Amino acid sequence: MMPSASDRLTVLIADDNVSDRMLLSAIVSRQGHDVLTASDGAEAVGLFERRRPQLVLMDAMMPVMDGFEAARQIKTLAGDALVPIIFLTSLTEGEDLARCLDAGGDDFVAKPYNQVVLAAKINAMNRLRVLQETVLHQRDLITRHHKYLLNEQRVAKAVFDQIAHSGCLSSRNIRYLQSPYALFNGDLLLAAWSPSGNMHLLLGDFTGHGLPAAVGAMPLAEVFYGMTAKGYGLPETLREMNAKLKRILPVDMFCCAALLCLNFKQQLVEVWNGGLPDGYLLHGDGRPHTPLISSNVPLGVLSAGSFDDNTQVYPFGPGDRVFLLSDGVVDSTGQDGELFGARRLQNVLVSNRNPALLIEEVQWALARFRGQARDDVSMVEVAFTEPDLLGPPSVIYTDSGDSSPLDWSASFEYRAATLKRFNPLPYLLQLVQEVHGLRMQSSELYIVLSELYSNALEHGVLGLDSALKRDAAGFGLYYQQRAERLDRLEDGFIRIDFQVVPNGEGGRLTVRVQDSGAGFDSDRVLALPPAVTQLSGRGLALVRQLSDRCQWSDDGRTASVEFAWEGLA
Amino acid sequence: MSNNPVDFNVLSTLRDVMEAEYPALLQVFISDSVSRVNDMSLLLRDPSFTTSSIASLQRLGLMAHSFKGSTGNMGATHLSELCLQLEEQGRGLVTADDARIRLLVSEIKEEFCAVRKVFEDELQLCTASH
Repeated sequence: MMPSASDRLTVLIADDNVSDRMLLSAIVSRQGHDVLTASDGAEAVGLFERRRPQLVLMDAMMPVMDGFEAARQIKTLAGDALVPIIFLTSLTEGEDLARCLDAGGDDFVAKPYNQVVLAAKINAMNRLRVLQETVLHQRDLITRHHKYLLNEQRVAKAVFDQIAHSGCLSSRNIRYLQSPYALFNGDLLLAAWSPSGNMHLLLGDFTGHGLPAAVGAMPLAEVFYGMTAKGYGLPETLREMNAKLKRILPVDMFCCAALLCLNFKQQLVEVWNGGLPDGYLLHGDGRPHTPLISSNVPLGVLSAGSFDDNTQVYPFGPGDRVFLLSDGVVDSTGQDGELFGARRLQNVLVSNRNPALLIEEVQWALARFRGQARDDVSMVEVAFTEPDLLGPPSVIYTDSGDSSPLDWSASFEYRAATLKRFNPLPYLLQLVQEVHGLRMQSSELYIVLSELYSNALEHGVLGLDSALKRDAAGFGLYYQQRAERLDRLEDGFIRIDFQVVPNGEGGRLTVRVQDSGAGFDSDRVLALPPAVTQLSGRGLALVRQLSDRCQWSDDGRTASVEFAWEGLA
Repeated sequence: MSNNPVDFNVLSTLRDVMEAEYPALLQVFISDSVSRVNDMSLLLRDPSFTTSSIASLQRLGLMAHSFKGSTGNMGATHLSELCLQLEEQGRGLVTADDARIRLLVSEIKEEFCAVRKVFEDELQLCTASH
C-alpha cells in the first residue's frame, strides 16, 4: 500500500549493521518513504542536521556514537517539532528499553523486523508528528494573533489615555486605582473642571470585556468633557450621555456609572448613581458614612423620555471624601465561591484610620479574601479641598478679539415649561464670552451667573427657604422639595438682561436677573456673618465677592451685578 | 530447527521485500558476517582477553548483540540463538565462563559455515534464473 503524497516521509535509518540497514531501507522504501542511512550515531546526527528527516529509525548499539546519545542530540536539534525516534532493538531487558525512552525514544521495533508492525508503527508515529505540527502551528497562530491584539490594545489605550488624561484626574485631591488596561475591562474614570470651578467626576463600568467594552468609552468621554467644559450641570450631561449610549450601543450593552459634581466653593456634592455598587460619602468628623445608593437605571438603557436625571445633593465640607468603586470589588469571589460583598467593604471603610491608605486597605482586604490579586477593580476617592488649593481651570482662546462686540444688550425670558428641563447657563456664558475683555473673568462670571440663576429659580420661582439648609437633614429636605416643586411648576419666569457698554479702552457688563417670586430681604441675608458651619447663605456672599458691584432691588426680585474690564495691552 | 540453518519462510519474505536487491543483500550479509566471525576469533586469540576483563567481555557482548540482530533478520535462527547465548556471557547476565565462551564462538563459526552454504546456494539459484 503506497501512502498518499502527504504521508510520504523522509526517514533516517541509523544502523551499523550493513545487512540490517539494507533490509530496513528496502522495507521502508516499499512503504513509499524516502530513506537516508547512517552507519553510526554521529553520522545520524550530521545527516539529521543537513536533511531534517521527519522520522528516525535508530539502532541502540552502534560504534562511534551510540543510539542513545544520537537520539538525545536529535531531539535537542528538533526543538519543539516532534521528530519521532523508533529504536531498532534486539534488546530484551526492561532496563535497556527504559534507556531508549530516557534518551527520547518514542517507540521500539524488535529485530527480526516484521514489515506489518513496522509500517503500523511508522504510521502511528507520523500521526503524532502531524498532530504536534498542527498544535505548534496553531500555537504560533495564537501567539501572532495575541501579539496583534496586544498591539491593537496598546494603540487604542494610547489614544484613549490622551483623552482620559486631558481631564484633571491628576488633581491632588483625587486618589484612584485602575488597572492600566481597565479600558478593556470596560472601566472608565474621568474628571474635569467646569467653568465655574466645580469638579465633575465619572466612574463608569461598561458591560462585557475587551474591545466591545471599550468602544463605548470614547463617545461617553467626549460628552463628559464637552458638556462639563461648556458649563452644563449633571442632569443635562447625564441625559446627553444616556441618549448617546442608547443610540450607539447594542441592546445588551450599557454602562453602569456614577457621576459627581463637587462644588468646593459652596461645599456641596451632587451625585447620580446608576447601577454601580453603593459609593460612600465619608465624613472626616467621625459621623457614620453616607451610602450613595444606585437609584437609577444604568446609562444607555432607557429612552430619553423615561430616563431619570434626578441627582442627590449632600453637604461636602473639609474632611469629607467620596469613595466610588466598580463591581469588581464587591463581586470578587473567594476560593469557596463566596462574594466579598458590601459588608466586608464597609468594615474596611469603618476601620480605616489614614484616609491616604483607604484604597490600599481595600486592595489588601480583597487580596486576603481571594488569595490572589485581581486587575479588574477600579476605585476612586475624591476629597474636599479648599478651592484656592486647586489650580484654576485655564481656558485657551485662539481668536484675536478684533471682532469682539462692545456695545449691545440682550434680554431673555425663560418660562415654567423651560425652567423644568433647560439649563440656559452654558449658552449665556458663551454669549458674554464673545466679549474679549470678559474672558479673563469667565470663571467668576460663570459662578455669579449660575448663583443668581439658581437663587432666582430656587428662592424666587420655587419659593424654597434657604434656612432649611442649616443642617444635613434639612439639606436633604430642601433638595427633595426643589425636585417636587420643579416637577409641579406651571407658571413663573426668570428674565436675564445683559448690557455691554464700552468705557474708554475697556468696558462694562451689567447683568440683571429678575424672577417672578415673592422677593426677599437682601439686606438681611447679606448682613449675616459668614458662618463656617452654616450651609445656607454661601451663594450671595460669593456673588458679592466675585463681582465688581452687586445690588438687589427693594422688592428682592431683581439682582443686578457689574463686571468691568480695562483695555487690553 | 538444527536441520535447517535458515528459516525458508524468512528467506521468501526477504526475496519479496528486496526484489532485485536480494542477491546484493545476501552478498553483503555473507561478507559482513565473515568479518564479524573473524573479529570474534581474533578477540579470543588476543592474549589480553580474559573473562575478568569487563572491557573485553563488553566488546565480545556487543559483537554478539550486533550479529544476533543481523542473523535474526536473515532467518538464521539457530545462529542468532547462539549469538544471544554469547551476548549473555559478554554482558554479564550470566557468570562469564571462558570455556563456555570459546565453545560458543566455535559453534557460531561452524553454524555460520552452514548458513553461508545456504545463502551461497541461493545466490547460485538467483544467477542461474537470470
